[in-house]
Amino acid sequence: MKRIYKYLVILLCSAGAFSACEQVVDLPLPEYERQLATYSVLTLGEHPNILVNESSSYFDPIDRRDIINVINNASVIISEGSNSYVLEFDTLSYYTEWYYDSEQDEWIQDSIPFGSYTTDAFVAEVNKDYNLEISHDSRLLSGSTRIPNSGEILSSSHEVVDIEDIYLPDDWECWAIGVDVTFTDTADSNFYEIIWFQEYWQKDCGGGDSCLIDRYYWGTEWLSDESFNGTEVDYSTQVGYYCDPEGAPDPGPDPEFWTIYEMTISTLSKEAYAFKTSMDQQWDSEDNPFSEPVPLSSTVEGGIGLFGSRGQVGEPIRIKYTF
Amino acid sequence: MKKLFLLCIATILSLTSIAQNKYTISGVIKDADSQEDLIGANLYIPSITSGTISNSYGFYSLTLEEGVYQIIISYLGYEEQFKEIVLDQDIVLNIDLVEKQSSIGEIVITESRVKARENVERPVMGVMDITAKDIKEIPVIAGEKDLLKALQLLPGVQSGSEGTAGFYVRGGGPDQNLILLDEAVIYNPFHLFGFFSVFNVDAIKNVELIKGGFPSKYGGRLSSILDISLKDGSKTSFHGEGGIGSISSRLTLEGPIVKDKASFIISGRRTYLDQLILLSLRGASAEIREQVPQIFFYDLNAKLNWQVTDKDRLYLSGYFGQDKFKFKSVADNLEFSVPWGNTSATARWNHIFGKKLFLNTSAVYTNYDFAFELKQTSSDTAANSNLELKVSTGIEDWTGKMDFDYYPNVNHDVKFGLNYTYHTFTPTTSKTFLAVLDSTISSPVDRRYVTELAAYVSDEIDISDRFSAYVGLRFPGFIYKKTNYFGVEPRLIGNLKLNNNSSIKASYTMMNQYIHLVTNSTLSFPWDIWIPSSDIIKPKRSHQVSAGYFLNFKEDEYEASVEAYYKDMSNMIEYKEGADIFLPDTLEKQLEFGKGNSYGAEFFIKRRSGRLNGWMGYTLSWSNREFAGLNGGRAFPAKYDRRHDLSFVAIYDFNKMWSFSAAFVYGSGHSLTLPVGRVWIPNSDNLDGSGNFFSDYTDRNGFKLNSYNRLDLGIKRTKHRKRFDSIFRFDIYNVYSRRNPYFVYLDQENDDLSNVNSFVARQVSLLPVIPSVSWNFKF
Repeated sequence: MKRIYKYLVILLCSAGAFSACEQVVDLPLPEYERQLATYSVLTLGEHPNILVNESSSYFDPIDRRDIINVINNASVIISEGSNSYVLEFDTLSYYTEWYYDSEQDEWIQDSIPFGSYTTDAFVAEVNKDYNLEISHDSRLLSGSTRIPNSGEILSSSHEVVDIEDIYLPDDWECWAIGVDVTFTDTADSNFYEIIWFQEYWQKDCGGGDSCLIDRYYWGTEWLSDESFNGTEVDYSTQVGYYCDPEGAPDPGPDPEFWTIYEMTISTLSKEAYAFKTSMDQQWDSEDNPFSEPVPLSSTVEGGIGLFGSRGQVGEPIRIKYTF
Repeated sequence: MKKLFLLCIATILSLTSIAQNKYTISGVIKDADSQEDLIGANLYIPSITSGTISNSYGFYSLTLEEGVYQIIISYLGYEEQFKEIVLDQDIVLNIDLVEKQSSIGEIVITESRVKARENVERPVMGVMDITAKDIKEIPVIAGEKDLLKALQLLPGVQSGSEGTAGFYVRGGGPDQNLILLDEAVIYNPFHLFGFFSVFNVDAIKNVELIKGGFPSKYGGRLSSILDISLKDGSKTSFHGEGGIGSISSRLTLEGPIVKDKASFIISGRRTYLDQLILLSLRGASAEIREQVPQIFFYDLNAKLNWQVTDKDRLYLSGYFGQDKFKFKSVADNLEFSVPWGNTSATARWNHIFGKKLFLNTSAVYTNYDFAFELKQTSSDTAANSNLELKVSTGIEDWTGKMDFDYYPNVNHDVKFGLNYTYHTFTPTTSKTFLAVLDSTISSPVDRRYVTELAAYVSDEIDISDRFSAYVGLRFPGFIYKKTNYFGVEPRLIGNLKLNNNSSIKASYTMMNQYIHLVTNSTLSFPWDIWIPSSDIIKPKRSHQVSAGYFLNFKEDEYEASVEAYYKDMSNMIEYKEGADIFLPDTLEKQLEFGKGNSYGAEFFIKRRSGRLNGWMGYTLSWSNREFAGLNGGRAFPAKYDRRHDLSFVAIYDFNKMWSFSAAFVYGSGHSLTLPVGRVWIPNSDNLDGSGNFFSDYTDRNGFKLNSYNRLDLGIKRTKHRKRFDSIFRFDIYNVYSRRNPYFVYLDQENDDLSNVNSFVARQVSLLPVIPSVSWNFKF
């Protein structure tokens, strides 16, 4: 449906054969004050890992080699009860990003500075309240979160299901793995995140040992328990689409290659759920010039970003897929 | 509540018995030439400084003490008549008024002074009348006379986006305007995605816009009532009217079926924009021509009326209009078509009981449909991989009404009636045909069947020479499944004459709105969805108070007013942030409910006579909304919040042949939510270094677009022949080619050499200077 908007703009501009209906304009925007930003999700049983960076004016030019605006000299303190922990900036690393240079007709590699604050003085514990304070350059950012309860996976099953792909000729056959999971919906946990990863494995990488060839992020879903019964969450999905004109290959009893889909279910704090879903909605709405924009549901005071937390629901579910 | 209603009726009927030795003069006021009923014609009796006006069917009734009276009968654009009557028995006096030869025969236009006196005499507030003549004189775009664009030039009425006919009244949303065409509700009054309205001016007899001080006869919307009456058709002779414009042509024919007894009118319009675009691409390849978007609209109005007896009259009228937008993309192997349109039919029976009671009974059907049809074919030859999709939404109403006008004596004008509407809402349905499955998959049809009903009563009372009042009550009801809403809506207006030329007025009205338009867009699109109230969606409600000073001067040549208003609105609806509007089964879950208010002042001055006439309006206003789930719970400006709105219209008649018109509008920029900052956010909680930019927005609608201003000029040459008038118009829309904002979007510019990206704001402006020529004729 979004495609309509593109065509609508074409139509509106062509309707009266109006030339140059579009122009770059200077908008009288208020002066934008750069703000402290953070992204920090405390994970049950793990040490904190906190990104501190800075926002910038939307209309300032962006140097692609420094897009993150990492701040490496902030004061970052997490407190819990009477305990207070000072986090240190981890070693500055570089994140590699590729972009296509149309002038030179080649892909160029950028190394972008990156790093985060951490400590091994504590690990996040369930039902404890944590407060974050970040100060830098006379600015103070603060937030708080409670680590949500964890849950248990009560049952899980999967099976290969036939699916239809309307874009393929009818002599093609398509399959996917249908996955059904039931897990506990604990009293204090109302929000969930389900993350999928895909791994490629090879049976023999030399010496007879199998090895992981690659691991990719597959997707994320967020759930609020308002549509469940309060005691259990039933979740169903499909992963691993596969189509072949010859029909399903027989992987044999001992295939050479296989794929593993890994599903991790987490409980999320309310703040983490709100921020992550707003990120997702903003991403989706930005293609449509007529839609109301979706602001980020920032969960911190004095800046932008997320200070939230997560717990685990059982162990990750790993599904071997051999088509 | 039932008792209260009966008490009101009983009180009103008892007013009859108060009169002693009184007689009634009644009748119908008509156009002498065509025998069309004249709505709102004045009967004024100077000796008692009182009078009445004709109702929607030209009927009037006055009950007075026995005696001899001088009566002045007048109507906008018609010669005043003076009559002396000896009232010693009930009299039926049908009056024919003769149209002034204003624009074609004389130089000086003089509107009725009596009509002008309504400004200070009657307890009426927030009512703007605009004549078909006004609409025809105002400069136009592409030769298209447009009612809704003319309304945008009135104070308190704001335009939507550039060039569009959408209107917003006193801070209300587009769904808060009740638009009636011969009593049928028109749910989408726009053609061409809002650039033109569906009303063919040639077929219109009367237009009344009510912004506040709503009569109890009307209800169901919070912000305005736009009541449009179609012409009845001449009962005496055959006439025609039409025109050829830059993008459309139109033709209206009217005449008697049985002379002085029955008449017809039929009026049609069709655009040829699609053909013009194709014509402009004559040399282009077939592939390019095939891909040009095609859009056109047509509409048809028709009406029959039959004077069955002196006391009975029948009317049948209908409207049918359709838009179609088609687009084909060879590259994407897709073709889509978007048809939408309104259909309405109204049957009415007028009956006069005795001399004082008038009844109109109406049966009305109205329907609005929108569809989106997509056809995608595979790039290979496998036909069975094709896809066809149809998404549709709509609303259909069946309405029955009885409206009584009762004139017990000269000091009372009583109206009461009943109204019943059965709505069928189809918020969204979809059908998908998958060739690969050779089957059609239909979404569950979420039809909603709703009953809306109302009873009302009102009295316009002359309490003394200086003080008059309007007192009304409306009892609306709404039934949907097990959800019922009933209410009482008081309507009060007081008018205190300070002297012969000025008065102060105040009003209070309460309105409920049971049906709602939900839109996820900053513009109004035909696919916006109408939904009824439910147990989750409560009726919107408004309380509006207004007060004003009204002044006539220079012997009623000028009328002026200042009105201040405050409107409080509850149960307002917006989509949640990030809602998916194409999930109808969860529609209610995707809505946020909140409140709003709007307030401001409207200044208006109008010159009714002279070679140079016209008006100037200025509105200073605020409109705010507050929703717990939007903007962090903080109040924010409504998207149509506009601080200043100025309009100026001047029409100058040089002589019998030439006239000149100008319209200037200025408005503060519309509200918009814009990103002001950006921040890089990681993709995963593990902080592996991957991530994306996200936007840091202003508060919702926290940014104002550039102001809007525009000057339009028009010149008209009328050539009269014995039986044929030929009228050439030359208009220039947006004379100084102001690039007014239609919308703004943000675009990224990359400079690979410097490794620098930047964002720029691009403003889309649609309409630069547009000259147009049109030819109109009348016979």
